[in-house]
Amino acid sequence: MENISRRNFFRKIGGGVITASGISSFALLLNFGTSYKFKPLYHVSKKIERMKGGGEDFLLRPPGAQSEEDFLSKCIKCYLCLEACPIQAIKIAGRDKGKAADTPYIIAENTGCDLCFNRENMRCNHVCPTDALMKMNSDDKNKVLEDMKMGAVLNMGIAVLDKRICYAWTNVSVCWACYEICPYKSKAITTGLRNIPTVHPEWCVGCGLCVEICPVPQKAIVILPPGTKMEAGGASSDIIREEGGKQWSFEVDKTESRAVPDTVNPEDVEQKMKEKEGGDSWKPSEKVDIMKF
Amino acid sequence: MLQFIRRLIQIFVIALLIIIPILSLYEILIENFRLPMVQGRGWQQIFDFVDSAMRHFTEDPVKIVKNIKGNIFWTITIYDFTLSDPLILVGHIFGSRAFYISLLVSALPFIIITILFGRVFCGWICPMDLLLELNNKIRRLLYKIGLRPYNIIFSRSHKYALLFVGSILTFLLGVQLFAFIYPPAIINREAVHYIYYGSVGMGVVAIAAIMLIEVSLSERLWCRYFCPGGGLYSVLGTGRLVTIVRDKNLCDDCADCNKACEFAFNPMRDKFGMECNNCGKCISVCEKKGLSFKFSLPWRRTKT
Ligand code: SF4
Ligand code: SF4
Ligand code: SF4
Ligand code: SF4
Ligand code: SF4
Repeated sequence: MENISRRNFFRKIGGGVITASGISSFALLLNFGTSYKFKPLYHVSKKIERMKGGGEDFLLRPPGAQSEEDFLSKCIKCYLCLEACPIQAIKIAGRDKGKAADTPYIIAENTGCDLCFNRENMRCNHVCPTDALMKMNSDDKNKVLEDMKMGAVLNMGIAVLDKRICYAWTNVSVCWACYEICPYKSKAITTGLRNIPTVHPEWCVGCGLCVEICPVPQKAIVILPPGTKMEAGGASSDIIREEGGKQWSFEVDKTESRAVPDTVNPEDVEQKMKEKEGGDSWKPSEKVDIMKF
Repeated sequence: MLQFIRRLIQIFVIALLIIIPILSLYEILIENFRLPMVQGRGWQQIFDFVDSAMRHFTEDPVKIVKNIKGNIFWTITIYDFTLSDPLILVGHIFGSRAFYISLLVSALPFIIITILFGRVFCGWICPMDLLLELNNKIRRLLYKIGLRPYNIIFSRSHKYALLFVGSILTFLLGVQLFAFIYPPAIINREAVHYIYYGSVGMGVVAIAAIMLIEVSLSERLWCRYFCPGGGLYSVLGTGRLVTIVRDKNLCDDCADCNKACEFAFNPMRDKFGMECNNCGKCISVCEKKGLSFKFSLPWRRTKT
């Protein structure tokens, strides 16, 4: 008799333990705000930065995306674009982005999109199974480039230059890096006689290459949402210094830029990152409000 | 034999889950001349292996690899031929409030297969099914050693409700919601995320939670009651042509098939329902060989 009751007892305990684990896993499911990070094995970009404007996030979408609402309603989060991008420009938005969680976007400060210039077609919108990214292929690449100017289908964002910290404008040093890398060189960015760059929003497509290359740690040039050209007053892309309005801030992590692995060996990068975590050596500025509109 | 083939297909498809993203990453490394700069010794070996394997076949691996992206579970592109899950089509129609013809074409193969064979995606391809079947083995083991996990029964119509409510919410919010809750999509996403960035998101926790709940609280809870994809496949496969048929003369009412069926149908009394995923477990478990796949037109079948 005693034997049977003991077995029953163990049964009850076991059942209780199993039930409790089931219920606690429900609790885990509800705890949706956090994301569990594992130690990176092969990492390209560990840190996801954010750009915030007026409380709302601006996410730079891959080329071919129309408006943000349109993109969100169509993107099925399949990550074909991410697999296809040959320069790994496309990253994934975290849970903190709310509605836009898990969608692909580009962090211009890390890696800009080179618009697949020397390739047969734009890989990301070529593979996208939905029309979240509109297909843009043409046999004649030059014709495509002509079509891709501002206001046409390709309209990712708009570059805005901050004259207060740009090395060229402040005479800190000679610099026209953004001019050199721009796919619409001498159209979207011109330098004039004194080799000082100016952005022309009617040509800029918002690819973000200029942001990637800009040597100023806080980035003297940033990408703002496509509609911003209206606020900036059409032709001029200077930052209008007025009180109030939108505040933009962003963090930059140069160690994970695409340029680094080609010039520095990985141990150095790791060393640098360790130093950075220690906090005494080189450090990117944290969340500086550099501009006011 | 049937079960062996089924497992083989499932494992092959899961292998693709890992192989395709690694090949994509390999393509990126080759294109940017960064193959020697891979961080981590394990990864270095993997990419070296991939490289030597690819060089066996072709001079220019990039040409092949760049044309294969994605996964069979959610969407896959091979040389401009795209295959998508029908749930994508439903979500896209409601989300974008428009009809995208290429997406319809890419979803068509699965739709036709489902109309002909029923819910075979669940039984033969879905990675979650393999996971949960193995999970269910643990549950049955618990039964054997004398612990009795709870078995809460829900209504099977929950999954149609979830499909309906999900579609309406997708329509109203303008966000593709199915991708957040549909396990094949989650597994695909987390695998790509892990291989590319070395970290995983909440999806893994959600999958683990479903597995824990199934062991402890309710047998095959997700697929039976809640999966919107399973609901869609059930609806599409209502009038399927291939069904499991019982030979009344051979059957001796041993009920082995009923025990084997993970979806809790009643093959012994010919109650398969439109949700049967044609996995064939009941067929292989029947000692009298009384069950078999049969081809028949739905309107010719006699109701029992
Ligand atoms: S256009 Fe090319 S480089 Fe730019 S995001 Fe798409 S795939 Fe990447
Ligand atoms: S390929 Fe298209 S649908 Fe898929 S994640 Fe990229 S943008 Fe979204
Ligand atoms: S100005 Fe900058 S963002 Fe605009 S097209 Fe040129 S490089 Fe791209
Ligand atoms: S790259 Fe930066 S610092 Fe150099 S000219 Fe352009 S905006 Fe100024
Ligand atoms: S019901 Fe859903 S999760 Fe289960 S096997 Fe089918 S598709 Fe996969």
